[in-house]
Amino acid sequence: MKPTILYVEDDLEIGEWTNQFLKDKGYEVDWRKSGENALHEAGSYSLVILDVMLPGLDGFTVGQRLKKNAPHIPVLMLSARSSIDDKLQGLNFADDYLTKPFHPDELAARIEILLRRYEKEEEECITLHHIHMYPKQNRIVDSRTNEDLTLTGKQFHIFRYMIQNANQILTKEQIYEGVWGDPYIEGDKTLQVHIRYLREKIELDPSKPLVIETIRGIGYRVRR
Amino acid sequence: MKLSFNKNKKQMDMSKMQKHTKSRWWRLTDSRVRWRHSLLVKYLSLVVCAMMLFFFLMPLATIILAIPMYWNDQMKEKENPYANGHTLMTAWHAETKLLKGSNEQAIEKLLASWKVKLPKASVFWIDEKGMTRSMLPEQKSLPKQWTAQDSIAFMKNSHDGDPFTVVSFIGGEAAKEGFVVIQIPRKLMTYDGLQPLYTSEYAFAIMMSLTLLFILFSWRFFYRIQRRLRELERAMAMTDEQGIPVTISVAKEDEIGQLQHSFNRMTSELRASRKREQEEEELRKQLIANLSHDIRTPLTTIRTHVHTIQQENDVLQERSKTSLRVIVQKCEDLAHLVDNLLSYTLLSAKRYTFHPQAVDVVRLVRESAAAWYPMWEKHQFEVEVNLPSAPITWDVDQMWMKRILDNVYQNVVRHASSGRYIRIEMNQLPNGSSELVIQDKGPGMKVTSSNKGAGIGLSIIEMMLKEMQLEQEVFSSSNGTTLVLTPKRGNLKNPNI
Repeated sequence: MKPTILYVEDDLEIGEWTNQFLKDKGYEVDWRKSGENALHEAGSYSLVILDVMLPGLDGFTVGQRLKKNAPHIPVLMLSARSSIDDKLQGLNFADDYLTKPFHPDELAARIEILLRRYEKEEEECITLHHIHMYPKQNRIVDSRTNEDLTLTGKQFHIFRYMIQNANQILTKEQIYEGVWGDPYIEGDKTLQVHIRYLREKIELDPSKPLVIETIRGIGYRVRR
Repeated sequence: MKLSFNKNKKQMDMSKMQKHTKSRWWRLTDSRVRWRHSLLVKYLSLVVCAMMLFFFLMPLATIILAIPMYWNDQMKEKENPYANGHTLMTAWHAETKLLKGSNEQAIEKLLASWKVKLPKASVFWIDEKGMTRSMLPEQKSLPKQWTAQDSIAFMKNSHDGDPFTVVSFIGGEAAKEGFVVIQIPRKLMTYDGLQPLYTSEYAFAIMMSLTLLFILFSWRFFYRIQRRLRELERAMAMTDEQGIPVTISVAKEDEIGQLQHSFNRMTSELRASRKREQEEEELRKQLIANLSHDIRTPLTTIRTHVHTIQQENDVLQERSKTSLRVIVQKCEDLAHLVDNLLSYTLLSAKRYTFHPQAVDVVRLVRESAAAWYPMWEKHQFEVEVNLPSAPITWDVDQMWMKRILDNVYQNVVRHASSGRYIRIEMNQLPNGSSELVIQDKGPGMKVTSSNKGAGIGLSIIEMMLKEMQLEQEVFSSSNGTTLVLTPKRGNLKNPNI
């Protein structure tokens, strides 16, 4: 099933182009020129892209109401308003804020990330190198031997968090806070220990990890 | 039109004010102050009251006090047989004159009868030979045998002395039969020996207390004025969050009350003008934000359409591809320039959201590096990140700090990508301070960049650094550029951390 995107943009030239671009990328797009009539149907979409400067209700208001009605729908603000104040206001409720002019590939990448973050359960199987992961069943299988890999709860949790945020470099603070839900305490080695054990189980050669990359001095990354 | 109208209004206000300030001493008070509220009138009435007290109340008090005293005197005189010296003297002279030619018994009888009548008086008589006789009571100081010298000394001492002494010759001056003496201590003659209540002292006391009362009331009058002035001064020094003095509540409608009214008018005007200023500022901010938006929108269209052409990679000539890349680059430059213009305007007008707080810079730098890493990867940079495991806290605005880092990284990618190297390092320095080092191996900053918009971007960074009290040092050579950021002494509230 194609993900459906609600795209609200009043500028015809940009709207037309982006509409086509997103369709070419394989999404189903519903392009609206104002926010009002889009408000109530938002629940049925996979993602909403909002401009800020709209006739009638502005994008911030539309987005806030949308998030209130349907908090599980990711909202991406796509605006030519570029000041920090605008970004802060937007990021109060929206999941991402991209300024115009944008690089089309960047837009596509950000949509990908948001969809993955919100629709993690939709995917049946994720393949990373020799690993098959079945998120719904909490199963990880070594594709070469077809054997299940047994991970502890925390290890699985960490791995899933990294897959959800695939292609992003995650600092140890981000992973810790994302998985444990507590603020990271400086000097805590728990995460490193967990990742070491995790690697021993999922990497072919734990000393040269491929699935979970180490970005020296910064953090970790899982690439898809 | 509106402006000139305001000007006229202002002039009118001015002339009105001048009218007020013109001194009209004969009117006693300002026309805005009702005369019964005026301080001047109040003080004058205080003075008049005091004078009334002096001129009317004091004589009245004197009379009231004098009446019982007069009565008292009358009563005292009636009761005290010693009181009236003159009456006693006359009686003494009359009775002793009758003794002419009488014998000793008669004289002694008379003396005894006086002694009974006035028991506290002393009496004696001296016969024709100068012998002291029948002293009642006995007096040692008097001689037994009187010489002429003794008599003269006695007379001299007794004259107007104490005791009150009356000497009279027996049977008159010519009889030469001796003389009789009666002596009365003078304190017996005055009101039974009790301290009298003198009218003059009372009057003095009343005068003193009235004076004191007047001083007290005057003091109270001026003390109240002084206190109100002090309160006013304190209220003027007190400011709200906008730095404008707060409104004062006016309790009395006198001259000070008018001053308070004026002060309140002034603060409300100040507040209105501050509000106007803020509205204008807001308008300007809006204007520039809208301008920025309006420029960015067509840029987006250009950018996206270029992308469409770029997708047709196969049919494009190499020259066309270069042209398209230049167009994309210029679109981005222009967008940044507009962005910077907006930021610069807001920053220089101090209209930028600025929330400095204690921030773990290590974490911030690491997260920023994580966001930029894919970009460096794409340009095949060698990335060296040396960040300590312990946090380093600076007092900065998180958004600003991110923006500064973004700007630095962007410059590295744009102008130093030939070096293919970036090093990000944070160090705790031995003197308690800390530093952030960002190094590249580009051609250095001396080489003029093709990006002319960098100037304003650098100004923004400088302004932000200054505001956050961070010091920037740049070492640039043809082998690369090193940027070192250190917090100034004022930045770190607690230098031990």
